[in-house]
Amino acid sequence: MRVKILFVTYWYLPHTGGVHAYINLLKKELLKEGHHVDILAHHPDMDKIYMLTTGKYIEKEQIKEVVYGKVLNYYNRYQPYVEPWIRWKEIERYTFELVCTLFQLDQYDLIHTQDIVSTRALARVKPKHVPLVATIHGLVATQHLFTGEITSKKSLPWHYACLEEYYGATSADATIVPTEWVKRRLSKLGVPANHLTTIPYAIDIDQFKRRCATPTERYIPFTEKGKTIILCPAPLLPFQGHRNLMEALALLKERHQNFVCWLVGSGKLDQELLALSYRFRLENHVHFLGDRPDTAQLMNHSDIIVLPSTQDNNPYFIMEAQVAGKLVVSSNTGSTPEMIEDRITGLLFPPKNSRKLADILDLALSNTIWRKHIAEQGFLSGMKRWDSRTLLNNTLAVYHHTLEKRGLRKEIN
Amino acid sequence: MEAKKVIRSETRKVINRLFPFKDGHAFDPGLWAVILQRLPEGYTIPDAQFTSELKRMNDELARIDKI
Repeated sequence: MRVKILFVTYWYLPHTGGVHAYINLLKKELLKEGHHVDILAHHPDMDKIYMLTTGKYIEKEQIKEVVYGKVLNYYNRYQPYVEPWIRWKEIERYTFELVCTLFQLDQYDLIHTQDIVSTRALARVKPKHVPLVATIHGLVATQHLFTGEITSKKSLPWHYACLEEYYGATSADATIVPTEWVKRRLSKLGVPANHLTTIPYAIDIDQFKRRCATPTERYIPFTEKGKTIILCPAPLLPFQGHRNLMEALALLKERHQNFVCWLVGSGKLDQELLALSYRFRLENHVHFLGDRPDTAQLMNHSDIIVLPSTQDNNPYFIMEAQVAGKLVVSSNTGSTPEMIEDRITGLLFPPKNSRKLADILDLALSNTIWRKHIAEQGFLSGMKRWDSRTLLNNTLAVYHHTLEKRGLRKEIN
Repeated sequence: MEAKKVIRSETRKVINRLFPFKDGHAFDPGLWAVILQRLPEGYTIPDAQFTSELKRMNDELARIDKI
């Protein structure tokens, strides 16, 4: 059975986030099996929608100028209480869905959308006979609260964001989520659990290992032999938990001297964290390496990967650290407990708890054999769970089930 | 030329069916003709499921405010 699939996302591509990594990996695996995959997305300038595989693009403006006037008029006349933020999002979605119709959607056996906006959009405009599968990578409503776009849950924008989430998760024939955590959160919004299939992310393990083994030409801090290297690969942003990490390292320093911590990433907390490192007299223990394209190589040099985030959904670094055979120490937030079995395949600590983090790092530094044993268990588990073939097979099962439900599988055969 | 005018006028009527409310916005029918051929029957803007929910939620928020 060979299937012609269209991946669609409202986000722009290419970008460095997890969605792009997922799309690329799934596409690679589908192509290996002989399937055909096209990708439709926003261009990085956000003015065009384009087919990545052919380069064909449509300027949004020619559609948007009509939609803009019409939709604004509608709201002015009939629902004037609707805020500009909602109107803007509506205009964007309608423009997106109308432009998508210009890409001959009827040539595909199946459309696989990658976010709530494109899912609702494609559900409205796709030819009826083409099944729609969606992957909802995370929850955006709460992110609007973090970014300040929504200031209260007792507001129309908050309800609109929840509506988007609900219809994004229910408008397709089948919806895939990467974690049970996302599934539970969507169920709270009223999405039927039996509509959702959990398929964890995966990584290209061979490619990652090649990257690990490639010597880096970038700066690597000199580290005395015997010192344990703790790597924290995360942007220096408030919810990533670096403040707790610095406090934990300050406590750890009182018990151990034989460690260094490399912070990889940048962000608005860089000056504050630098100041903290001086305040806690951690200058000889903490190195700020900034954004690095060679995280895999740095991981290869490290002993422990620490992720102190206060909210996370299936972080790729956990998968990479496990298949690199490194001990993962992570806060048990979001979907992390699904990825790490505490004290079996990694070590977990409560988010924002610097003292617990210090205690766990202390344990790991004091018990090298125990630490290596857990890292080994994490490696064995990760090699199976994060294999891209697992992602492919589970996704194909959803495709087949969806096609079968619509009585299309025979036709394609 | 007559025939073109007729087509344009017909296209405009069909486009207006996508937006089931009256306004005076101008259309360039060229590209829209292609879109219209490809849209499923019954497609309209705005998305009625969203607008009806927005109305319901606005009424609900107003009711809460009164309390």
